[in-house]
Amino acid sequence: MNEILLIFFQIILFFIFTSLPVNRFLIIKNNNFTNINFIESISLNSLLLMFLLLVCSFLKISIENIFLFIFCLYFIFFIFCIKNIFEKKFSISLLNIIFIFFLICIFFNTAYKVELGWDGFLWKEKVNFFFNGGYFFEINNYSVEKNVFNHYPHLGSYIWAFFWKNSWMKYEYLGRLFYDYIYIVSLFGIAFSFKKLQELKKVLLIVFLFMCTYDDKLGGYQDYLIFSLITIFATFLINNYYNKINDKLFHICFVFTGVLLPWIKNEGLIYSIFIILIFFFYENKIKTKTKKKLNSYFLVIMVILSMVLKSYIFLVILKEDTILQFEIDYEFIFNMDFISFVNKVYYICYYSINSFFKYPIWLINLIGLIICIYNFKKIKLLRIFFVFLILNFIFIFGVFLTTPYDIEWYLAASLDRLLLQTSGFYILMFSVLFKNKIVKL
Amino acid sequence: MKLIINFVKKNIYIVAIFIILSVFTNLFYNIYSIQIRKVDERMMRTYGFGCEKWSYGFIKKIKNNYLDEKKVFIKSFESMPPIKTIFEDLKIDNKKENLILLNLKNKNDIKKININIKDYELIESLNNCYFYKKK
Repeated sequence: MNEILLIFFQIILFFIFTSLPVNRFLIIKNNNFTNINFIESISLNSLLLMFLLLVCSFLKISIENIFLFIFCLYFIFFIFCIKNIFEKKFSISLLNIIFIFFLICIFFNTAYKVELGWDGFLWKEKVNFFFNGGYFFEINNYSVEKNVFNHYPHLGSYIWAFFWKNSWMKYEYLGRLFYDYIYIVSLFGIAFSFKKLQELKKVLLIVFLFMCTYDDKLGGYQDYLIFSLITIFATFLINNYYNKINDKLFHICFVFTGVLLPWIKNEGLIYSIFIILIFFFYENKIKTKTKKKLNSYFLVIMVILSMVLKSYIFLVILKEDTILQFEIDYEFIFNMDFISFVNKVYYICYYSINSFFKYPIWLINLIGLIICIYNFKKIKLLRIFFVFLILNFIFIFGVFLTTPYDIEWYLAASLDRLLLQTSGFYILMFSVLFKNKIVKL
Repeated sequence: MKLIINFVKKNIYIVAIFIILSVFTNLFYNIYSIQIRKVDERMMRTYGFGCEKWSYGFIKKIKNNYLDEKKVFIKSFESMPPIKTIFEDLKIDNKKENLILLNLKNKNDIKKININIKDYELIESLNNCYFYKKK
């Protein structure tokens, strides 16, 4: 099969796998689902698919069979849809076309630049394990060089292996196109949260966000998955506040994001805690109508339990330290003198500013945060961005102040990516400011 | 033709966005390159045809010609990511019977990895890349 056709085929495959089951043509009687737009539906279905794959990764079933099972399940969903597609009005908007065009652009870029980034090679080790039929709970028996990759969470690698193994020609890059896919979905999610914005301006916004965040040197890195999940969560939160998405869908999104993040990267566990805190803060302090508080407590407990389960699996069953990639040297921390402390703080600030220029979305975020300070009291929702910002920078300073490694090397290698991961969350500030007519686009 | 011109006239901004995005992501060149160069060639251009860059070409040649069981021990004497992971079917040879040494500029460096090279036979070499098999 021609490789170009193969890439188009991959786009169709992702479409099929992320268009169902949350679809307005499938669930027509439930008002919760009928009013959501195609990006919200794709976002939620992508999270659902990832969750399904996470569950399947614990079973001793080959990824070909899992593919077959999911494909059959979705085919049945599709049959139920057909009738409604003809009955209901089905139209293709400009944004749908732009969405497909974005996918084509980014997929061809990844296909041409097959290169993996440095850490991409480390993740690929785990991908190979799953590609060759490896079973998650037997990963310790798999002999890898220096045996350093076992403590990496496996979900991103599993998804990569899943789409690679089940692709037509079994080219490695086809597997990681899903990372690009969910990244584009999250960018469109941001634009769709600007409800009253003209379509053309939405498109320009997406192009702008894409230019500010896209980095093709991150081949095989998991950072875009983290970025996408956090952004999708923030999008649903904003849309829920302005009553565009009902509580049920927002809660589903919260649970999936909270559960999935720790299985993608080690820092995902910390982000999951942030998301719980943001959710809690939002449900109790921001939202005006809080009739079902018990429900939200139950959801938070569910996410916490999943985090405990994840820690148990890695710490007890796999005997791996998954929370930190280095041992904390308490003597080193407590004996740190004032000058070296100031020195470290200086380096963290210096490299943060450097990273802001590498991913200019942060410069926009900073402008947004400054505008938010002036509207802090007027719009309650803006508080969540400050809570997230504080948590985010406590985490960054915490990690780099306590690291026993050479701080300059460590900052240069990872700070920009850490900042990229959460940058999508803050850009939603502008959606809030736009809705309150403080910012005009 | 008239239809196309009318469409462009009506949607000039959209067409402009399409062009900007295509240029930003090198879409046309990427399509052209994918059409004329197969994956393997693109991999070689990225990771090295022979012993340069990350020695992809050299390892691939060894894998195809000498490694029936796909087991090999790869050691690079320069800082580089674990290139073995590019080949999904390569396994680590813990007994070190098949040995690939990359970026070996000084043969005395072999002593650093606790290998007695006299026990090995040189099968293939290219610039600073060597493939040894245990005698």
